[in-house]
Amino acid sequence: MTMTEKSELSPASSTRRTRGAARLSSMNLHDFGLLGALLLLVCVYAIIAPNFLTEFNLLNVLRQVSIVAIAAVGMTTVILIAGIDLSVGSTVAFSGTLAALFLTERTEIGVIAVLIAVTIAVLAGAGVGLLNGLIIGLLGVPAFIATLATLTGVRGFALLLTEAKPVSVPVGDYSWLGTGHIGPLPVPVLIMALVFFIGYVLLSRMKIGRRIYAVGGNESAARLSGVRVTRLILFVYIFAGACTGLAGCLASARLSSGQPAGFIGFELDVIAAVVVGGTSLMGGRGRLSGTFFGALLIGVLGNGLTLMDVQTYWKQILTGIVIVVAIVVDGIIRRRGSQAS
Amino acid sequence: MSLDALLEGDIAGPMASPGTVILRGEGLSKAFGGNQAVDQVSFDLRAGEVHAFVGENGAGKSTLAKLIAGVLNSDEGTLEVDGSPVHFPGPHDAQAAGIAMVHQELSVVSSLSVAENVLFGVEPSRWGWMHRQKMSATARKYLDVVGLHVPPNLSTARLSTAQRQLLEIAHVLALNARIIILDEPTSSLATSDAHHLRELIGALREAGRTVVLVSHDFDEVLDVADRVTCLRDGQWVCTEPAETLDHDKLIRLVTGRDVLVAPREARVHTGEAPVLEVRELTGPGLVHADLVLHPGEILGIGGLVGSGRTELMRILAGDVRPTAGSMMLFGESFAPSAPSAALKRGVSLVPESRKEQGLILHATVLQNIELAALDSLGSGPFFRAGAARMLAAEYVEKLRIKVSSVHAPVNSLSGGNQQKVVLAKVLATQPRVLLLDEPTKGIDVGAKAEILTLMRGLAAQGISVVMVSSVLQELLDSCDRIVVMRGGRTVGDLENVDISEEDLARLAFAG
Repeated sequence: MTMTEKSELSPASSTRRTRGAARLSSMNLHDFGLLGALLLLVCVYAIIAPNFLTEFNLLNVLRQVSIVAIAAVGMTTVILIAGIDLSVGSTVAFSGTLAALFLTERTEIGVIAVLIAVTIAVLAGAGVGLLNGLIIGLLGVPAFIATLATLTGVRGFALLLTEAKPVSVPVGDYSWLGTGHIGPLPVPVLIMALVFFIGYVLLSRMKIGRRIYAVGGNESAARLSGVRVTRLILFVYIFAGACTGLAGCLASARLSSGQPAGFIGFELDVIAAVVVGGTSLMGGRGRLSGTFFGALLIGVLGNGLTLMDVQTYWKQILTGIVIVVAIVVDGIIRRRGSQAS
Repeated sequence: MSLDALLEGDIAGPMASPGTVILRGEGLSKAFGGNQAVDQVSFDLRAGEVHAFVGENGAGKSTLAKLIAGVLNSDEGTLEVDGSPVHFPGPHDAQAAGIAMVHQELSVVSSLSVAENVLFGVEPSRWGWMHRQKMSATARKYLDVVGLHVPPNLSTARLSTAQRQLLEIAHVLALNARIIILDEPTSSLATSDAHHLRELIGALREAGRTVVLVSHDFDEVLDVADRVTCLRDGQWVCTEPAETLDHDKLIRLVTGRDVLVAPREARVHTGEAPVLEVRELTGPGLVHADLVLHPGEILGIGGLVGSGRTELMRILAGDVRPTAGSMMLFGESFAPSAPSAALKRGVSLVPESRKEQGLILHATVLQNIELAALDSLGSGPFFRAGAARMLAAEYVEKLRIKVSSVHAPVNSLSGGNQQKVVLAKVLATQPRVLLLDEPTKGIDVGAKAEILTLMRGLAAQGISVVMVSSVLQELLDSCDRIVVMRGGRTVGDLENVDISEEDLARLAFAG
């Protein structure tokens, strides 16, 4: 590790010299570990799972993963500030249902209508995020409790709007969002790539990203260093809500219907992806690349088992094991990386 | 409740007659990664002695203490207790052998009450249930002995850093150990509490206990220690009887050179247009404060812990809102709603607790230094990583922060270098008014001198400095003017000419 290297050069020049080594920090090690696990899993499935290593199946896994992964981008920012968002499942149902309600009466669904429906879903998600942010940031309610309340409340609202019935959408351009392709690539996968790019710019190329890591690392130090913490909390939950809203929109497009009673427990899949990806629930540590690999690892794991006709309960059991292993390995890496006198 | 009466209970382990060697370490070594923190150190502890470990930060004192207390395990070497070799896999095993440690990083449990913390692990019980009443009574005895006068059922979260320190000492007394290791016990204590602690250490020695004192405070070491072991770069330098040592000798032993900050000539600034004017300020913990700060002036604030000095600093930094009174900065009204607003006006704070308020410990030197100056690093909402790295490298060089790279995590640095990182972060905002709350707390003489020298250099460049310190001599050596606080009020405003430590102490204590 870099901290133990003794250098007689001046700090400025040694900075340049050790930067390469520093890039291999503990978080990167985690990424390598995840990538290794993923490759290993792919190799095993390539041998034992029928039809696993086909272009069709691999793209299919990516498409299945995309909805969880999009919500996980937002969840990553929330967990980085040491928060949590339990309302994701309800928000996915709520935003997808709202978009479906807008489209359900139409006979013809054109590009404009689709864009409006997407906007509605994203704004609905952002609205739930704003509510979460206000309860947490202004009222000082712990994130766990606040989002537990919106989990219940938003679900109730979605059910109330539709009298608990699914809202169907006429087949057309909207379902293309969930099932269509551009070239060989499924549309949801392209949208996922876009959301990850936005998340990357936000966390790594914008000042607010630095502040997000700082608030999660030590909120009072961040505040004394001029970070406006309440504003930041609001921003992060709104951003996360918008990601969730978009995920909800894609989900309803895929199913050609809004499911006000669906996606119960979906937030746990999202949190699992983030945590397996190496983001610390204590805040301040984590990377978006890890979240992507985390979502993919869990997705691939399930996909292979499905192809082998294994009961889905096994998938749940294995996912549980993967979460524990990921955290334990991460802990070992971190201890080795930061032990100090 | 006297100490003797309290200590008459059975202590863990057998009692040796004073002067006999009860613990011996041979060739102890401990490395973290490639960093040899303790290197082939041998020493012994005798019954009924106060044995001080001295050295700069990073010299290996704390690590050595942790090896004795079972907090860390040595890579090489042996420990003997009463002549037979021992191995302590964890602190619990050391406690069973009668060895307990008060840590530098405070380890009280905030969510428990004061009494529960004092008696943690040795709670009185009746039929397997905690005996609440007895607990309060027993805890109170230990609290009285250390001079912490708070109700035993108070939540620990409400204690100040200094009070937590006393609480930890009470806890170690309750464990009834015969070897008590104090790691920087007075670094966060005010003069009166520190004095009380010295008496307590003396009483422990009288009661036949062995006290290991890890300390940067040479006056304290010379005052209470019987023997002094000096470490440098993890290696043993010498073990000497305290009476053969003096202040200058200790500095030479510890640093290997003759460093000292010479007292600075105070300058009179009154008459110049003030930078900061505080009138009749009232707020949480602050009853009435008046303050005037001039350009390039170093203003000291003295007073006990709890006298309102930290509260005043927090209001000036925008961290807390005052309830009444006025503040003027460069002749304009100054009422910051948050630290961000104060920073924008050029007022920056180095907070009292660098670990809790100053630093993101697991983050890198770079991430810490760039944080407060983010607004200037890149255009609009976008961040320029290159500019941040240059800024960090510039301040690492300017403040001579000893670090292998700006990508090293700050928790791998010594206390002095950590404090320099906080300073670098604050200076990177190019403040016009610099607020320093206990800037030299818990750091070694070398780093202390560097920080004080740096502060003087900043004042010479025209930056106005307000500095809070519990060490009165430090104020006298560096400040142009000293304001003394007591009970939430500013009670004295003295030009630093012909005043003594006694003058300040009288103002700070007088009722």
